[in-house]
This record gives sequence, structure tokens and C-alpha cells, in this order.
Amino acid sequence: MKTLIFLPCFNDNDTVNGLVKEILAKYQARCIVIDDGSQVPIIIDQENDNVILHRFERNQGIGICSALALNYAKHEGYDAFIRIDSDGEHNVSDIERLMSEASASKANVVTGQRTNFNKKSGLLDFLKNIGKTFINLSSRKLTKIEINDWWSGMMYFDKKAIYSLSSVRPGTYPEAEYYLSAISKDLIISTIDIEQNIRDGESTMSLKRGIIVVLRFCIVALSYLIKRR
Amino acid sequence: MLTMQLILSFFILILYLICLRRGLLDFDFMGMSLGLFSLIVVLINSKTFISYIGYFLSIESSQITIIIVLFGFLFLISLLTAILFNKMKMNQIELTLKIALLELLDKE
Repeated sequence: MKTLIFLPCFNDNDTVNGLVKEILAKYQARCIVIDDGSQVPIIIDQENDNVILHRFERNQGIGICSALALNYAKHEGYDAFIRIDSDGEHNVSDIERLMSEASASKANVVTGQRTNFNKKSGLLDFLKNIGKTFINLSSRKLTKIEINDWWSGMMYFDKKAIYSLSSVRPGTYPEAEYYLSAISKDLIISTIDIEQNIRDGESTMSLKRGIIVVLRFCIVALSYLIKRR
Repeated sequence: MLTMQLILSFFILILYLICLRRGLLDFDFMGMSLGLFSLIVVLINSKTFISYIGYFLSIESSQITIIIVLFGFLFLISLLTAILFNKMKMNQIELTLKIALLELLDKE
């Protein structure tokens, strides 16, 4: 099976090389690393036929990066597309679990939902958790699909999903938009539980961005309601 | 008078929904602001609101008609501007993606 593993990068120079090395050692896949305008350009130590690096000189947002990687996968005829965060938040070994779940459940989209993503302290984390809970609850009510983590960056798309979702042009945090689009296009979604590692870098989600994400979600949810067949 | 308000209100809301459904407007902040604006226009066209405005500002019904028509016109102008901006934004995104994809394929 022709598999493309996508690692979106923003200032993740310290972790991305180790991840790429681990992925290539474990899986028969190609990696696409998209540097979304990092302050220090990402350099891949072992750039070869199995690793492709693209750099945006200006920060475009992860939505554009995801759309690019997905369109590349479509253009090159990949059978599977997997996204994993390059900050070390996800375990490489979970890729195999995503693929197993996809073949076992015949799902077009598999998402790794984090079981420990809410366990933090501090006012900002408390507010983030309120936002996440609001989004998770309203998404579940809206779609009647049991996904507990609509912002998980670990995802698997099969060929049908690659073709269907390559036309989506999502915003800054694209995960929920992809899942809602998949549901409205009648794709089958399945989930696996994953453990989130402690990030090596700081989260890019500030309070201002959090408010924008919640507002954007409301807009996307409205879009889902209007556009669904 | 009331019929005209109702027709205008429904026309504005239906036009807004058609634009959203046909992808002429994106659900970005401009699209959302326009939605809010269309709701305000509908609210202004509501009978109660107009009677309050007429009472407080001592406006005659003929003047209210002009206000309603002006708001409708303002809405249409905003709608066309939002559609134009949305098209420009989407064109820019598509261009960025196309160039990046060509660069990627060139590396093959």
C-alpha cells in the first residue's frame, strides 16, 4: 500500500529529524515534511527519495499545509495518508494502530483521539478545556458521531477520503473541519485512543487564537448544517 | 407597508443563504459579519422595531420606507463586496497551493 506520512512543521527543528528517522525505520512509507515558515528553516538530515521537504517562506497556517499535502497525495495516487504532529506529541507506534483500525473497520478516516489532552492546570488551560468541551459536545450533538477529540492532529485518510477531502480549504486549525467534511461526504469515521506525549515546544494555541478557533468552529458547524445533504 | 417589510426580510435572508450554499460566500469573518448584518436588517424591518423608531424619532411612515430601502441597498452592496473579497481570497489560496504543488512535483 502506497502510504504518505505528513508532518507539518513550525519551529520543530529539534524533534522532526528523530521522528522522520523513526518513521522510515518502522514503516514502508514516504514522508512529506512541510515547513510552515519556521524562524530557522527546517533541515532534514537524511533527505532522500523517501523524504520530501517543502518550505513556505511565510507562515500560511496548518490548513494550507494540510491541503497541500493532501493534494500532493491525490496527485501522486497514494492509497493512504497519515498526519502526525512533528513536535513529538504523537507516538510513531500509533501509526500502525491507525492503519490496523482502518483495515479492520473499513473506515475511510481514522482519528487518534487523545485520552489525556485535558489534564493540565492553569487559567489558560482551564479556558482551553472549556472551549474544547464546547466544541466536542456540540460536534457530537450535531453529527451524532462519538468522537471525543475533534482537534486531534493524528489522522488517517484512505484513498477515497484523500480524493474527497483534497478540495477542502480549511482554516488555521483544520482537524474539526476535515472531520465534519468527511461526515457530510458520507465517509466512514473510526477512532482509536492514543496517549499524548508532553510537548517539547510550547503550544501554538494562545487565548486569542483559541477564541478565533471557537468562532471559526461555530461558522464551520453552521456550514455543515446548511451544506449537509 | 408590512408586506414590503416581510418581503424584504425574507429576500435578504434567502439571498444570504443562497450565497452560502452556492459557495459564493465563505464562512469566514466577513461572511459571518454579513450574516449578522442581514439579521440586523431583518430586525430593523420588524414591525415592533419600526414602530419604536417611528415613535422615538418621530419619523413618518414614508421616511421609514426610505430607510428600509436604503438598508436593503446597503445590504446588497455589502453582499457583493463580500463575494468579491471572498473570491479574491480563494484565488490567492488556490494560487499558493498550485505553486507549492508544482514546486513539490518538480523535486520528484
